Amino acid sequence: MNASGIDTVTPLLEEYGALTRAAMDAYLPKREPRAYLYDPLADYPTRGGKMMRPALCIATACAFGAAPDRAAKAAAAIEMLHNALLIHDDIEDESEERRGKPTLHMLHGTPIALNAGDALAMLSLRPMLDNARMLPPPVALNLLHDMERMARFSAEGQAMELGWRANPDVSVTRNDYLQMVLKKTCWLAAIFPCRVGAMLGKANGGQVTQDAFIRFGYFFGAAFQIHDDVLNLKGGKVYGKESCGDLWEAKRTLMLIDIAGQLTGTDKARFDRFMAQPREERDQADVEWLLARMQDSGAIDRAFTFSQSMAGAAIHEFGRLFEAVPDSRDKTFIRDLVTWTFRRDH
Amino acid sequence: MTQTRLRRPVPERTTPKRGVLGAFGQKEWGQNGQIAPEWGAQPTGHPLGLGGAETDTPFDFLDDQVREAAQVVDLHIQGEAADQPDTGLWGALSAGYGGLSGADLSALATQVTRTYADVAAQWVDLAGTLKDYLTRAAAAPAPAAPQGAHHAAPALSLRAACPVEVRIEMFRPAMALSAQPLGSDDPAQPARITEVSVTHNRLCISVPHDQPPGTYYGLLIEDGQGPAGVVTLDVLAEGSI
Repeated sequence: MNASGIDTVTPLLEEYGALTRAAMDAYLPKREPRAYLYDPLADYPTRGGKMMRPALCIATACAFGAAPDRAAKAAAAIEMLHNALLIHDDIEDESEERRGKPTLHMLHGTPIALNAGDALAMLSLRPMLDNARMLPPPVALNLLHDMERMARFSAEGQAMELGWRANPDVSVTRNDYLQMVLKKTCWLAAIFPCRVGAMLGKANGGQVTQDAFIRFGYFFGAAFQIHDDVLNLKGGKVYGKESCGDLWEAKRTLMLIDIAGQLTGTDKARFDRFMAQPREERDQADVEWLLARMQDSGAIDRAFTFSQSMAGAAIHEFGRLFEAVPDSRDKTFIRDLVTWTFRRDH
Repeated sequence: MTQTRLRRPVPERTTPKRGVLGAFGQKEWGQNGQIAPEWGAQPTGHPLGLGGAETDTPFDFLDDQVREAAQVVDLHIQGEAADQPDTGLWGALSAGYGGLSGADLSALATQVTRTYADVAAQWVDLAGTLKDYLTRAAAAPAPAAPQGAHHAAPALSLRAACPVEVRIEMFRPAMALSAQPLGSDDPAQPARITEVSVTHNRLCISVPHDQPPGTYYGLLIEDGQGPAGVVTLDVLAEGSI
């Protein structure tokens, strides 16, 4: 809900989510080999995610004067690529649950899941190319350039995180974390969808500067990711991934970076030992201890407060970015999506 | 059918629009590039109570942590700019577009080889027209365009029974070109212009007499090197000249 108490986000998430699913369905093959490729490939996209990324793309296009249909294929491409990366993330993170069900590699084994993820990533190019075809060639090339740019940054961000996990003794600062989030999360979650939407917009002739939406998408995406990290520690099964999965994985979150700088003596030794262990050797007592230390020290509260500040910066950037854009439900949706982040519990 | 040659002024190069707002074609919404008052700053009204768009300096209202966090994204943007020019395909395309990804699309206009035809259903050789144009263009090189890029433009032979405009935009010098069929920019329009070819550096286009009005695009491909230019052909409605 916005300041007026009206939910401006959910209706458009549902409307644009349905539009994206319909577009996506046309690009998910229904032919053989089904059992070992196309059925697993279509699993995550049909599990019912939040559809925030495609909705952001369509809403931005609409805010810039396009009809929702004009951006549907690009939105489908974004959602397909997102799901492809989730398949790979789940393998790399050794996650067991995704959106309340077993992860794809738990259901089918890593080789089949890996191949399905590869295929889904490649398939995501098709709707994007089809959408790009309706643009003037210079804008279409710029759009495809941006897709390559986004994919490269996503891989770089993931590499940073995987590198930290492979080297548990390396010191990670908050700015290191934010740089990782900017690349791994913000580009695909917010920057790219907004940029593509603006390129598909009619009112601006598809013209988008090299750095447009990066600051807005960074603050928004970081707020979203940090809040996601906080939710992961809330416990219970309301959250799609397994509860406290980030702690089991010793994932470098703001809370972990915070607590790492505070512990001393035997606590620090226990922490270092925990970080150095492979995931399967970590025990529940250590995870519960670490969670308690984060709660007691206020690390979780500080991270939550920081994410709110980042959301505030995102809204500030929104005000500057959309100052000249006429009012519309889509413009309102984009602004309120930032604060919607803090209302979700999944 | 009119024999009047359609002439339109080549768009003037405007000053680069480096600001965020400059990217969004405000001219569409305001007069003379100004933002209409009714579309001025919108109240952000966010529930976090952290200020609004009226703040002149970004993040004045935020704490040092967010100010520090902002440096991360600023360094990211600066780092990307420092990485230019990209030596890959996209970098080459961007360079050929006169800094397209550097935000100044208006530079495109300086590289356009533009000609118009409102001709009878016969082949018309426009090479002389192009040569004259290129002579003029060479006298005023585009700042963002690589020197000599216009030399790659092929001559044009056009056959059309309806008024058309043709523009050839070259990203870079190129040899051994081939041409794609021209597709409509309207996804609902399936009609294409398929008689498009390049022979001895001469682009030949034949427009069917019943081609629906609209804008059609196709890439000029350099063998083994990828896209080198774009052909844009506008089929104008009868009586539009």
